[in-house]
Amino acid sequence: MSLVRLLPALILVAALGITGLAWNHERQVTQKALQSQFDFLLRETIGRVEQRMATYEQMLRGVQGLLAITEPTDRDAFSNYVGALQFDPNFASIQAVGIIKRVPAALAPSHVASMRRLGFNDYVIQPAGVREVYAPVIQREPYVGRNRMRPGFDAWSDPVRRSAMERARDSGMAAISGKVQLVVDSGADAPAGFVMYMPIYTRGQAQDNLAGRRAHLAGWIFASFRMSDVIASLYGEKPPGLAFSLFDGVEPTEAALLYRAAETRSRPAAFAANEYLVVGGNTWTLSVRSQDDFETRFGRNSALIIAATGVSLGLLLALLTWLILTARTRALQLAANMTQEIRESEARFRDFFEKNSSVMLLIDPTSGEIKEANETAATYYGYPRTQLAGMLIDEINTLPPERVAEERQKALHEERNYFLFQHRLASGELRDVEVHSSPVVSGGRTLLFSIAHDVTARKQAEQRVVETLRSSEKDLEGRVNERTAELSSTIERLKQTQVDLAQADKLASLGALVAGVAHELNTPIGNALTMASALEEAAIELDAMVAAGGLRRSVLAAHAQKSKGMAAIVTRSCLRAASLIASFKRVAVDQTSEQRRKFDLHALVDDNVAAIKPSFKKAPWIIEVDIRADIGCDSYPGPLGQVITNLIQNAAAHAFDGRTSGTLRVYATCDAEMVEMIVEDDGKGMEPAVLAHIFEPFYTTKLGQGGSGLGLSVSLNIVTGVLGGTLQASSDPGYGSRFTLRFPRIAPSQVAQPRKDRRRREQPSEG
Amino acid sequence: MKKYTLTTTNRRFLGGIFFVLACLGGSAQAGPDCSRPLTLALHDHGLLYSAATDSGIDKDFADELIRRSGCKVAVSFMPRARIWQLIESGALDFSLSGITNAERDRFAAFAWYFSNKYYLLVRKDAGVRGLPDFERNRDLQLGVIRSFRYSETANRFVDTLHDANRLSQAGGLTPLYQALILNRIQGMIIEPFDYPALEEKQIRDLTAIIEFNDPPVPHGVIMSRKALSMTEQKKWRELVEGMRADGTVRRIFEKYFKPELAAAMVDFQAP
Repeated sequence: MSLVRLLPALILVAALGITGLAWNHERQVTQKALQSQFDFLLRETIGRVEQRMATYEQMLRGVQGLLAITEPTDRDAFSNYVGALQFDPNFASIQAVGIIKRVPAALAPSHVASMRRLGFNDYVIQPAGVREVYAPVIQREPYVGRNRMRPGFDAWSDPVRRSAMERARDSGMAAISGKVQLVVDSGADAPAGFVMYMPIYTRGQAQDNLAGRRAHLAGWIFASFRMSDVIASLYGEKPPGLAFSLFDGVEPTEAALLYRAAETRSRPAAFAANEYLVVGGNTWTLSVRSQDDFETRFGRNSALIIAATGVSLGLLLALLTWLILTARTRALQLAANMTQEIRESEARFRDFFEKNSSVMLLIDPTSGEIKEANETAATYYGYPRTQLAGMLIDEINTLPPERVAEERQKALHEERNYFLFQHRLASGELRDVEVHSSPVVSGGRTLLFSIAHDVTARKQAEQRVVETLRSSEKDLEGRVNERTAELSSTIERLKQTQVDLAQADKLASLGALVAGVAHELNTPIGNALTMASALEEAAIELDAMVAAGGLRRSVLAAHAQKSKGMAAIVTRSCLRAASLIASFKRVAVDQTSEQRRKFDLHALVDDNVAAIKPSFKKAPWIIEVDIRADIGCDSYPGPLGQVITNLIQNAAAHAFDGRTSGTLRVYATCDAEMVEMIVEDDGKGMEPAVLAHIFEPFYTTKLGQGGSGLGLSVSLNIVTGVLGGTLQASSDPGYGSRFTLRFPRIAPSQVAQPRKDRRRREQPSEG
Repeated sequence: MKKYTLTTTNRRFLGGIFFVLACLGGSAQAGPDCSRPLTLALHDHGLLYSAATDSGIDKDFADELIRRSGCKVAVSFMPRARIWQLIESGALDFSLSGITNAERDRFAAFAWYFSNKYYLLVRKDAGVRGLPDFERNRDLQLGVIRSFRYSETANRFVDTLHDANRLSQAGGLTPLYQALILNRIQGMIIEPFDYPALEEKQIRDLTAIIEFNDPPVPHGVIMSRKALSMTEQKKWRELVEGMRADGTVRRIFEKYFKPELAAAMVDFQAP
């Protein structure tokens, strides 16, 4: 086990050991001190009791002395004497002092008689009975209270008292009886008492030997006591921390109990002793026990304090030792830990520095000396590492040294960290380098950590790029011009195409118109033809019937009727055809001519609608026209009609595409100058994305389905151009679309426009 | 050098000088100072003194000593412990049959007149054959009289038991006998003048006696150093020596003991 672990443990053990010893010693000392104190108090108690008894004996000696000089029969003398003793509280314990006369049996009657003569009329010796010797109490003083009890009690009759009386007689000294109940205390609960007897011998007779004493005994004087009173007068206060009991004899039994002090113990007494007193030839057992407050009074807590202090100090000491022993180790460990980080960091940096593929230098900012260079630097510059580290950077940097120093300062103060220099290699070759330099703190000093990248190649490449760019620029300019010229001509052609397409569209619509007309004409003409045929057949029939000669009037009437009808149909049909042609003619003229004229809007619209209605005869939608009859315009009806037709056609093609019903409304309002005509439908409507492009040329959503995408574009052109108005479209997807035409009732005059188209000469219109 | 021989002339001359000196010495040489009443206390202890009968060896010795001194000495009776207290304080002049030790020697002077050994009286049923047995058995109580000291081994024995709280103290012998009979104590220390009591109280049958292996301890007249000067002490000592020399002490002892025992006690080498 190492010293570090052993020593603190040893110290702890030693400290604990010492503490243990000290604690034990202290405990023993405390115990001894308490024992001494207890012994002392016991001795003191014993002494007090013995002394008090001696005092009582002295008092009786006084009485004995009195009786030595007075007649035993002089009751007053005795009374006065006892009175003079002044039983103060010190003697308050004496119940009575009295005289016992020894009366042999023979002298008993005369004794009784003389007592009666003294005034005790019913004097008898109690207890009654014939005995050899009587020892009646003839006087008790002080004659108060209980002591007023009648005299005559024969103490000799009580064995306990008798034993004491005999001892007194034989020794000539005071003798104390065992436990008795005093005669003056009657009742069951009489307190424990005892009597002290002092012998009285006949005056003038020999008393100095046993025989003499026995022979010349006259009587006794006695003092009677209640033990409780004695103890009470013995102590001002109880002995501190102790309680004692007194027993008569050697055994502490209940029967022998003379006195017991109240105990205040909650646990067994720490100290106890029984001692045998010999007082007045009688043995008392004094039983003393320490009370709870004995230890508090006389004891000390120092043992516990020592233990606690010792243990804690021991622990502290052991800890301290351990700390001291390990201080060095711990400090070293701490240092190693701290430097570990630094060393690792250092190692990492070194690795990074050494093995880096970039040129790295550590330069002293003030002197410009290269403190360290990595392998790559050595290789790059062409100097061995040992030489390179030690050179001045000025030897490498091509700038004047003052400038280099300036730049170093800038780097040091972090004003700049990116530099472009030219460095000279060992071979003399000049290279362009890009240097990143920033200050680092190493070993207490600040150095410049510089990384250099060779950018010579890059620079050259940059140079070439610049040149290439310049030549490219020129090329590009030329080509751009070329292209622009090409594009311009293309645009011209496209414009022409647009015009051509517009024309084509016009022709197409015209074509559609013609087709429609043809189709429309087919019907009336067909009807007329049919009817004409029928008429012809009927005429042939009639002719046949006439020829046959059986022509009846009814047949003829019928025939005539039939012929009338048929002829009417023919007429009607031909009229219809003629009107169709007329109206188509107007439209066609209008359509093909851009001739300006005055016209009625309502009529125009009607005409146009009528013209195209046939193509939509089978459509599920209807056209409603709601235009006042008196909107006169001075404008170009042809183009306007084209626009209207186009709008209607669009509605038909797009709005009602796939619908089973619909309404197209054409209505107009006007004021003095402007006409507003609205063509609206409740068809599919257009999405906003579509709406945005509808006026663009070639924009169609029905490419491949006959839509050229030019309709609205042309219409817009017409409205804004020739008509001098505006055309706007709005739509609510799912609900319908609305086209709003606004144009002046009197169209603006035309400005001649350069056209490269092949236009037919405008024909004069008829309307 | 010239030899000095005790010629008759010389003897007479010397005798004369002595006579003059003796006269000059005055009554001091004659006997103790009796100018004040002296006090002597006895304690109840077997044959030495019995309070019940007011008789004993010490009583006889006291009477003789007082008679020889010619002084007025009041004889009283008190417990031994109190005697030592009063001897120390000087309130009591004399007591008898005391032994010395270092503490007592400071306040008491002695005039030896007998010596005896000490014995351990132990109940047979305690199973004790030697002192170590008694010490070992923690249940055994020893009874002693308060303030009594004994021979060396006995003192050690008593002190050991005292530390172990195994002593029962008493003011006199009587309760110790009673306690021994009742088995409240199992042992007590006795001296030869305690023997008759053993016979009387039928203790002999219950008990065995174990010797303390010490030489006999001299007992003597106790004189309070505080109360009596060195010269007085010397005078009283001389009286005692006189009583010894002329066989008075032996006679007194022979009243109570068999001649051999009396001789053993009275004939001793005074330390």
